[in-house]
Amino acid sequence: MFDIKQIIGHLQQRNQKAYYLAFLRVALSIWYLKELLFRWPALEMLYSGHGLFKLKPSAAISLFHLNPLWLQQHYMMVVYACIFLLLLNIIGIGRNIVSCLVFIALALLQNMNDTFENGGDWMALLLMFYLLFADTFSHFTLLKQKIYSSEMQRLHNLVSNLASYAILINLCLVYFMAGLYKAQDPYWLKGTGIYYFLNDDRYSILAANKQLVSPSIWMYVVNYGTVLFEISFPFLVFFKRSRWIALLLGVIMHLGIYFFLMIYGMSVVFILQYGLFFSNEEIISTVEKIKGMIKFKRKTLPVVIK
Amino acid sequence: MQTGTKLTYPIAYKWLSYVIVLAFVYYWLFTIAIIFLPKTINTTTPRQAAVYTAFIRQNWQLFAASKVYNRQLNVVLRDKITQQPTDTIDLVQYTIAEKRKQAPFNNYEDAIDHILYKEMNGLERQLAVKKKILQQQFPGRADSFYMQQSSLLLEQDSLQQTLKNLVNYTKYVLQQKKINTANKAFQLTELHKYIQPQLPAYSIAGDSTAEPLFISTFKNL
Repeated sequence: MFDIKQIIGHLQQRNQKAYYLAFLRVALSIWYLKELLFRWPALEMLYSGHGLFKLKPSAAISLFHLNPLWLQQHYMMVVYACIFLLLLNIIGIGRNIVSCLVFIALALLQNMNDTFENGGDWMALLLMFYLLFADTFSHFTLLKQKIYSSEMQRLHNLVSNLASYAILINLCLVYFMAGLYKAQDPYWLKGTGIYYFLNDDRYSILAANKQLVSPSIWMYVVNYGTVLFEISFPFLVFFKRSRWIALLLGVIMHLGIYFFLMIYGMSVVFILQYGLFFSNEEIISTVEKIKGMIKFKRKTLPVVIK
Repeated sequence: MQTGTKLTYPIAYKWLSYVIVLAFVYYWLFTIAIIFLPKTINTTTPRQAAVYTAFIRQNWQLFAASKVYNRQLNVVLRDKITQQPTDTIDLVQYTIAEKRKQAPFNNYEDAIDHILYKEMNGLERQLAVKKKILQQQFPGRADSFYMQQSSLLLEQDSLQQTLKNLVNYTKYVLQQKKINTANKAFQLTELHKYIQPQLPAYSIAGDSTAEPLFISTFKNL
């Protein structure tokens, strides 16, 4: 029933999510670059320790064995290191060594001031952690992939597949835990959790100018629907038939968070992971279809002769 | 993809595969343990738990804790000569308005909002500690007494940074709003505005939905 030898053998055969892992490396690195660039005017305030708010690094910074004061004085060095490494990671130079350095640099930056981080930032760091083990360099690289001995390749495949399963397990765990916590909150249990979030003026786009959103029947539907969806996500996504429904509901939920609760980065990071639920063949055929559609549209464009 | 055919130490590779799978299983067992039994793990394996917190934090409440009130952090400006209030600005509303204005490219404003929120959390935590001490020293007094005295104690605490940060932010917002601050003093007040039908246990006169938490003395600008 449970043959470990067989499972290992299966995981060693090939990198099962090669294309999407490569896409995820590029997409996540671009996402981080975008976050850093849009945060640029706030960098001094966030990391220098002598900005608008006097903030201390997180207690975990001691693990890096670096002087926090020195780090605050040279915060731009860490920022530039992150940018440089992210650029290398996008084009696939340095491969897993660079991926590892990217993860360490981003973890350092995150711990230099973790007061403004949200779930999306921690999820992105976790993804970077898993991706440092994965073989994400079969596509979208500047240089051709290395050729390993067959045994080494099998080992690479095993680690890469475990890394992609780790991402999927973690995503399922995140939704399940979020649902479980909500099921313990008295307001979510009563069906008014969504009502209070929509009236939270810090997040809700509907609660602008101190206007109160009145409770309605659809709020109860969304409230219980969210709890049910989050708890059942790991089970729904497990079966091929219900997978599409689970992912579609997930996209709807994250779009809701994006448009109504003004939390932008988080939704992108979560939705980006959904592609890993599909096989390499499914992803490649979809990409080919999209490419074909773009080519067809280009061909049908009228030619202007001067 | 092409692969080489040369085999080197096949036994080592085989055992390494088992070690990798074992590490994977251990990682997940530890992750589940740290999620479900955080206190036990933190005390039994503090170093490993600290590494987890720094690198791969697993705290997934994601909007699970409902907040039944909105916060207000008001700056009341007063003329030093006439002693009359001239302006009132809600720092929370100002920050939210800036965040909305720049959305969805509001990383800077969003960071300020997060920091302001955490600073207010810190302020409330310190007030709660001081209130508890006051309740033990002077039991049976009115809520207004504990609120006023804890505010005073907090202001006198020279070691705390939270209030200093909020004062700095007040000055920054006044500058941004181009408010004339000559010959003016300011007072900071924090209150929770409850979302109906929720009501606070202790409210201010004339507004049953507002719970005062902190009132500072007037400070010079």
